[in-house]
Amino acid sequence: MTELAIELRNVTVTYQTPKGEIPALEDIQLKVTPGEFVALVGPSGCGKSTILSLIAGLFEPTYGEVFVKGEQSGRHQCRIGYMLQQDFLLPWRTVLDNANLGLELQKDRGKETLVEDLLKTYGLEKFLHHHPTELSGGMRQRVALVRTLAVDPDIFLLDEPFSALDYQTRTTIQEEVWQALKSRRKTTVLVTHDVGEAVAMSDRVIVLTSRPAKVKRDLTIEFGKEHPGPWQARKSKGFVDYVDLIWDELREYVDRETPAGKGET
Amino acid sequence: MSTIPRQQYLQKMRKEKWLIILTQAFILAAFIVAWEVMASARIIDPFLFSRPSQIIELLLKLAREGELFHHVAVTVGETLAGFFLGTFLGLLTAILLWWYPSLARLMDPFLVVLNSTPKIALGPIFIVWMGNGYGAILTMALTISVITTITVIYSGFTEVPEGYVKLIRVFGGNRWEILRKVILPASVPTIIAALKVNIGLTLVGVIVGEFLVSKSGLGYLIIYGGQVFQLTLVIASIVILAVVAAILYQFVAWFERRWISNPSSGSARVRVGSGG
Repeated sequence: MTELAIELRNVTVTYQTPKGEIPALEDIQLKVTPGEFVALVGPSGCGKSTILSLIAGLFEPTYGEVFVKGEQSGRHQCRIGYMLQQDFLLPWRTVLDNANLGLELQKDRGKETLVEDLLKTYGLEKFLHHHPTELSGGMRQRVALVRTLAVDPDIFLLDEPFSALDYQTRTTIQEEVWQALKSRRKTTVLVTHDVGEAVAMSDRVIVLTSRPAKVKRDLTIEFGKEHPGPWQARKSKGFVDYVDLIWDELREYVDRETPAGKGET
Repeated sequence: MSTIPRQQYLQKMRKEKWLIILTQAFILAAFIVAWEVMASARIIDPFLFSRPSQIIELLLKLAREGELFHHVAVTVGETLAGFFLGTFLGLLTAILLWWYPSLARLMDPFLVVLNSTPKIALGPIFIVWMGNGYGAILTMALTISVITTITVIYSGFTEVPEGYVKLIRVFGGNRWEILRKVILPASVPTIIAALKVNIGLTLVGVIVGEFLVSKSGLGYLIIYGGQVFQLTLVIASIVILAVVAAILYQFVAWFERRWISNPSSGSARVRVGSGG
């Protein structure tokens, strides 16, 4: 058996607050193989983002274990790329300096040309010395993508990175990110509210229950032998069936979502 | 090439700007003339209210004797020393509070009380402790400015969006890098706002200190003039003080313009690209 890229074993997370305990995850099992693209969907506030934070090693589970490339998360050597809903570009830095931030923090010198080349690939060559406020939402998210690609992480965590974009831009960026990740054979975990997006982009969709989140359904998505990419996938004949199937799983939560998506950041 | 409507617009703007400046100058001149006229007509008592001509005469005399520059230099020197020291200590303390959140929680009630206590009340204690000299004045100025600096800058630090901090952590950055690459640069506008408040507060502290110590400086001139019933000296010193305060404020404003080379004001510019 090949080494797993990510493994969550019996993971339970409980947030402690002065008012009481908030159970976020309950006995989650998750295995992601290298190069796999997995989407997590579930009712809002169910703790999807908590799973990403665990993989990133930002905190430890209350019970259970998280392994990244066979090592305990938080102590792992491999690089993790994290894209958030907001791009969090630093407004006082130029596009180029923002894209260099990751390399700068990992003390990885001498890759400046790589960053410039990547920015050129995404049509940003004219804006290298502009500031983020001068860019549209889609261009900003592209800069964030380059910032993450530049450090060449083994694992990509995408936390609704497309949800703040308008429909047209979202579709384009989804395609670009997917191509970038698949061509580099990156392991990816995508958290999203958008069932269509999950089906179109991933090899596997995991449906979570409402809080405390448990794995409700683990669904392999197949569009022929090779995944054709999100754009083509949307036009494939199985697409609508997959979306319906997942919607059926989620339906019961639609009317009784938790008031606010607390604990989801 | 500017269009005709553009030229008309610019012309209108220039005209309005000059109109405002002229009106302001007129108000000031009218005030001075009215003061002078009322004093010579004995509508107001020149012994109590002095008069502009006497003030100018006194200022020229003091300037000739070199006395004026000495007192101005003392006040400005103390203010700048207090300002830089206060800013430095305030920024340093704010960083410490950010670095150790438990320290911030611990200090919170003390800072609140200190912040709302009129620090001027501590003046006599400082004189006893520090002696009747610059030490007491500087301590007075520092006490007044530093607490405000700490609270303003620290609250600026805590308002930096959590996402930026998360971003640095995800890339493997440590706490020092979070401070250097996110917290400090994001707080530049807050720090500048603190500097602007700080320069004024330091001047208040210095003048109060000079009132109490009464050796030299504009504060000393004011208190001395009051004691010997020489209101001309009091008002002349206040005029100079106002000029000094304005220049010091401009110094901070100049610093602000140099420091912020305006990246974030880019929103005024047009957004480019559709992103699609």
